[in-house]
Parts: sequence; C-alpha cells; structure tokens
Amino acid sequence: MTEAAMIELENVTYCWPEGRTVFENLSLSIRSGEKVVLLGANGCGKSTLLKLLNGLMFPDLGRYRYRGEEVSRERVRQRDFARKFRRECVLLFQHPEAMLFNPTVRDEIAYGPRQLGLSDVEARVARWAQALRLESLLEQPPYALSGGEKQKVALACVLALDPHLLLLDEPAASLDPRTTGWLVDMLADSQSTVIVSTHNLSMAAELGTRCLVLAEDGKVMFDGGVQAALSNLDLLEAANLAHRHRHHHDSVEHTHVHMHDWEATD
Amino acid sequence: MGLSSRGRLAAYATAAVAASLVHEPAILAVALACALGLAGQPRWRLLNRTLWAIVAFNLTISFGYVLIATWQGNFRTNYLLLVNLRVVLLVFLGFWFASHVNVLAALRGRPTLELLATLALGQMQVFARIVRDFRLAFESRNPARPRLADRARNAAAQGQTLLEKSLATGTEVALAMRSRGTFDD
Repeated sequence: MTEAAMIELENVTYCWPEGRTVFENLSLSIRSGEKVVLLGANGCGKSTLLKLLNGLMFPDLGRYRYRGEEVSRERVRQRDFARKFRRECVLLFQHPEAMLFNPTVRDEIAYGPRQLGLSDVEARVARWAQALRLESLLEQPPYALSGGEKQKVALACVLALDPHLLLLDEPAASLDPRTTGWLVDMLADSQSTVIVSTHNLSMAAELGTRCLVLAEDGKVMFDGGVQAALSNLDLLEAANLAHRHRHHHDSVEHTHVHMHDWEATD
Repeated sequence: MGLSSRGRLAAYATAAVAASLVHEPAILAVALACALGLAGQPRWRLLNRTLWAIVAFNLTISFGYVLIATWQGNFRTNYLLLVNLRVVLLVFLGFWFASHVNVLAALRGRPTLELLATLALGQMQVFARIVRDFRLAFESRNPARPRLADRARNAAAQGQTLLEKSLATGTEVALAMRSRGTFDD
C-alpha cells in the first residue's frame, strides 16, 4: 500500500503564523488514481490542506511525501524538483482571480505550457477552451470576466498542464449547471489523482469515491466511501455539515437533521 | 512593559507626534536606537519589515530631493538624513505598535473610533488574504522561474484586484452601515 501511495502525510502539524493550530498529527495516504472528496465545514482547514499538498505551505512538524519524495521548503526551492512537481501537481484556488494575471484568456491558459516550453501550446489552449466553452472569450482580458467565467479559465489553466495530481478547492462554487456536469464527467474519466474540497454534500457523491471528513478542529473524523459518509447523519451533524432545526409538517412540529442540498437515503 | 492596550496606544501616539516635531537628525537617530533597544527580540524582524516597506518610497523621495536641491544649489545632507530617519522611526514605531497592541481593546469605550478600527482591521484582513492568495497562486502556477514581465503583470493584477475589492467592499460596508442606521441622526 505504501509503495503505491502518491501522497503521504505523516504526523503533520500545521499552525497559522498567529499560533492557531490547523492540523495536529495528521496522517494520510492517497494512492495514485484515487478520487478523494474533502468534506468539512467552513474554516476546518480544507483549503490549507490543499495548499500543503501543493507545496505552497509546509508542515511545522511531520512529513509530506509526494511519490516518495519529501516536499519541503528546501526541496521546492530546487529548480528541477519544482519544475516537475509544479507540472504534475496543480491547484485550483477557491478564489480564481488570484490565479489570473495575463492580458488575455488565451495567454492565461497558455502560461503554464509555455513556461515548460511545450511544443503543443496552441493545441492545449484550443482543447481546453473548447472543453470549457471558452472559445468566444479567448481574446478577452480575464479580469473583465464574470466569477463563473474566471473559474472556468482558472480550471482550463490547471488542466492545460495534464496534471497527475489535481487539487480542486470548491471547484463548482460558481460554475453554471452545464459546466458543473462537465466537470463531474471529466473528473470521472480522468486518470489523474483528484482531491476535491467542498462543503456541498450534493456534489460530494458526484466528485469522488473516497471521502475524508474534517472536523472543525482539523482532525480527520472519517475516511471511507462517500456514500457511507453521506448516509451517516451523526457524522455529518458532528462535522457541522448537517443541522437540526424545528420543522412543520401540517400541524406537527418536530426536529430532525437536515442536509438541505442533499437528500438522505436512510 | 506592563502597560495596558490604552496606555500603549497613548505612548505610541505621543512618540509619533514627538517624532514629527523633532527636526534634529541626531535626536531622531538616538530615538530610533532607543526604540530598537526597547523592542526586544523581534527588533530585527521589525526593522527588516520596516526597511522593505519604505525602501521604494524613501529612495524616490531622496532621489527627487537630491536632484532638485542640487539643481537649485541648496542641497543639505542634514535634511536628507532627517527625512529618512523620521520615516524609518515612524514606520518602525507603527509596526512595533501593531505587533504589541490590541487596537480594539485600546479603543474600547469610544464607539466611533472602535467602529472605524473594526472596519479598517476587517479590510486589512481581506487584503492580507488576497495578497497571500496571489502570492501562492503565482508560485503554484510557475513550474519554471517567472520572467520579470510576468511578475509585473501579476503585481498589476493584484493591485487591480485590491483596488476593485476595496471599492466594492467600501460600497458594501457603507450600504450595510446605512441599512443598520449608522448615518441616521
């Protein structure tokens, strides 16, 4: 199992500079090709975990290994490793405007492949622009686009590198239904390892097969199948992903657990 | 030092006013040395942050002064030192103050100032997150060393986002305050 692991976190502790502990002794192993959904309430550390996995932040204690190689601040400064790692491991940020800085959408998608000196830059741009229906926006400046369009451009940017590890932070947050459907299909067909964070339970079942539920204190509360997680109401309530409130059915008032964007199957 | 937040705020305000009123570089240099001495262990981190924060501004002002004063024939080294030392001292005091004082606690009991400080701190947190996200996203998107032009474009995009965000948030905050009756007299 360890040999096939693409990602290994070993007793990782991470604290914000102001001292708040996000993760304490977090251990995790993800195999190549797995589709993992990261579920958790706001502020539980989903985005931070993705940034750790993308080698943008580093554990205060413990180790992070990518394909057996330790990813540390020093290692990421080594140009050869950084080139390989940044090409293979990509992150779609929760706020896509942070990723966009080129004068046109075409340049934006071409940026990564061009940096790597790939010979098929234009073909990659055309492929992902078509897949995400961005053709008519190719000569537009990214800053002038709507939130959903920016999200699609940012997605095209990371996919244009044909990554081995795709880290997606709330990818469907501002996508229209058609693009969300396309994303679900694309992820299902993809050979890449995918880790998607969301607090949208209705999307979770579509986005992956393995589910990690993070508690509000950053601990892993559950690691198993998505369906098993979604049908465990106690777990979801404890993770602040479902809630109880008073409810009326005709003249009867009662209280039960709700997941407003997901229908329980029990 | 054992001072309360309010005491520290008063000390900072007094020091800032005093630094603005002193026109003798030697006294400012002594004051800076005292501030460095009193700042304790984080002094070099604070000084480093101060110097990075002011380097572009001070160089521009100093260079402009040297050019114009030389052209007009009244260049004074003392004045150049005075301007630079004053900015270094004030910014250093500002960073020192910010790292040691809970501004909201210092302003407790003064609702208007507390409100303004809350708004400013909220905005600062939003901006800090944007700046951090831009830095990380740029790092993440660069398998190879970025060119200077790419860095410049990234900085410009970041500036534009900050400007747009500050305008949008400013409008939103003003509307929210109006909605909550802040401007009703």
